[in-house]
Amino acid sequence: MSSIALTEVTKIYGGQATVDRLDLKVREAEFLAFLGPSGCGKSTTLRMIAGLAIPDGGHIRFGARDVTRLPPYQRNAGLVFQGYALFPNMTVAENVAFGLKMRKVGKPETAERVARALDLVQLGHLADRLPRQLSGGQQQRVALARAVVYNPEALLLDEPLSALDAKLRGEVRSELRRLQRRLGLTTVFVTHDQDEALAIADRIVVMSAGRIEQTGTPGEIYATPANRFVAEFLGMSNFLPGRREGPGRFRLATGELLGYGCEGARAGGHALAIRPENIRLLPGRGAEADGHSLSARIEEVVYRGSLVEYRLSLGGGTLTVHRRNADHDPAERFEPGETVTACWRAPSTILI
Amino acid sequence: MLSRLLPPGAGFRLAMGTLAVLAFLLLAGPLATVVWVSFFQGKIIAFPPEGYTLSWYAAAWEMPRFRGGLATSLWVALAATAASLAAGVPAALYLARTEFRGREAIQSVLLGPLIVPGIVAGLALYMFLIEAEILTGVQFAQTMGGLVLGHSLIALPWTVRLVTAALVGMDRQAEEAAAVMGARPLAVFFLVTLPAIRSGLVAGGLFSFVISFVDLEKSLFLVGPGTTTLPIAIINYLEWSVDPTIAAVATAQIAAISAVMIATDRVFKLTRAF
Repeated sequence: MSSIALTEVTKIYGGQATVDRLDLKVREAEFLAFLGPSGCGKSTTLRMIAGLAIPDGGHIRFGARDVTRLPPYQRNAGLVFQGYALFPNMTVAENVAFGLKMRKVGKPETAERVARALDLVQLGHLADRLPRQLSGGQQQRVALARAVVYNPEALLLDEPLSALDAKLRGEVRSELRRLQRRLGLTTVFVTHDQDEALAIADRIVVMSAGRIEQTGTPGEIYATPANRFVAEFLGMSNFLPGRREGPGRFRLATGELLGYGCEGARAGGHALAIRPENIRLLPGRGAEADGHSLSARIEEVVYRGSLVEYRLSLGGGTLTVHRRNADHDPAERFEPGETVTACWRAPSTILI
Repeated sequence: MLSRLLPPGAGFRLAMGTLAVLAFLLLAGPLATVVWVSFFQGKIIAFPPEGYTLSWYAAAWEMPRFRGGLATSLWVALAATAASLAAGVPAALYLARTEFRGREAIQSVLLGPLIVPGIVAGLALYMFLIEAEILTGVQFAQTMGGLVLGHSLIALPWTVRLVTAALVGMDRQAEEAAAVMGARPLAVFFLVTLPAIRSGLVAGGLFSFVISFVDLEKSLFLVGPGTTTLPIAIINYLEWSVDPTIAAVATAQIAAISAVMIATDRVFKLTRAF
């Protein structure tokens, strides 16, 4: 295992920087997720780490080794694609053995390591099948076994769960995480799915337009998004427009003066962001509450099982509020048309 | 009325069915006739036959011109197939995977054999070989080498087209996965790319073989003493005599091609290639 370091990595396609001077370090045995919309450069970055694309500028290092211009076959990385990319003419065992064969590992050792890798993904009993005889989830597990069997220095995953159906995705995700921990693999995971990134990664790198918007643990990124892009891309956020009037003071466009918890690392200062689950609702106008409160009218109520989503209108815009639906307490239920007080504590708002 | 008695659409299906049967008869009729005639007893082909015999097959086999022609045709077809695959696969790889100026033009040129009449192509090849001979002083025309070269050129567009089609349809991520797993470009090609495009290879090879094996017009200019192919031998024989021997030879030719097709289909479902 080794760390992966990217310095000023740039890739230009058609005169445009798809990846723009990217600086990043993936620590040894860390599970890092690249998260961003399609076209943000996350897959291109992964391809450059794998050696399938050569950077137009900058350096990529595996540990102390500069691999920037090395062809993929000299890098010793493992790669799993969304589409599995198994060899259709080889059995499961032959697929898994491929990397060992390329490394000229002897027959008995190969057989032993292939068996161990297949056991790791619980597919030992399917060793002699052909890929087309397996389900999507099984094929993806074969691809995973194939990528880790030769102890790669880095495990690279390009949307590996996207082709699977929702239930299977959760299973394979947990299995992937267990495997990564057990083998201590330095892992880079590319996804456009925020839930996936939040659930699986040690750290998330949010990308857009070839640049990093924010890097941090899932908790950090969710609780303190650096800017509006991150706040919008990860989870749901309400944005209250206005302007900053000094440290900790924000004047809403509608005139109210509010406090806030912290400033996003790359805040523009023109809105406060607050998550729907951090807002409470009290019946009636101007109800007494600790922290901040605004009067609003319930426009729409959407029942979503474990939570109820309220859409509120207030002076300058709309507000989305999520309330937990535990025990289905009727006292906490509101109807469209009702006037309520929406309140929250200042620390749960972020200046964006 | 018929249309009242039958369910809707039945009239249309009946018409289509009849048409299909007629078309099939039109295609198979002449072939069946040739096979039938090869068993006629009389030397002069007359309907109805006086009786049936297998002796024409023995007679054809006894004639060196047919036996030699068959051997030549087989060798030329095999060599042309090998050559057209050896040249066609790299060409298809380049055409399918590299963007360059004039790519479209080359792809259109490769349709040439479908447009240029065979006799014209044969004449052009002949003149080319003669020119090459004048330039180098080495004899090309009317040699086995020249014949194989000509046949490979005729077969090449087919292999290029069929292999290109297979390449376009293949999953390139498998190649990338192999490279990341440590496979050098040559290993990727032989272990991943070639197996993935084998439908194109088989179809291209088969086409090459058949096209070469039955070719008459181009070979007319290219054959020489000792390099007479089977179709040429048939034409030469027909100039002087018409008897069931020729039907027996033709039947043997049909059988040979059918055998190649069936054998290929055994290893590989041909319907998958088209």
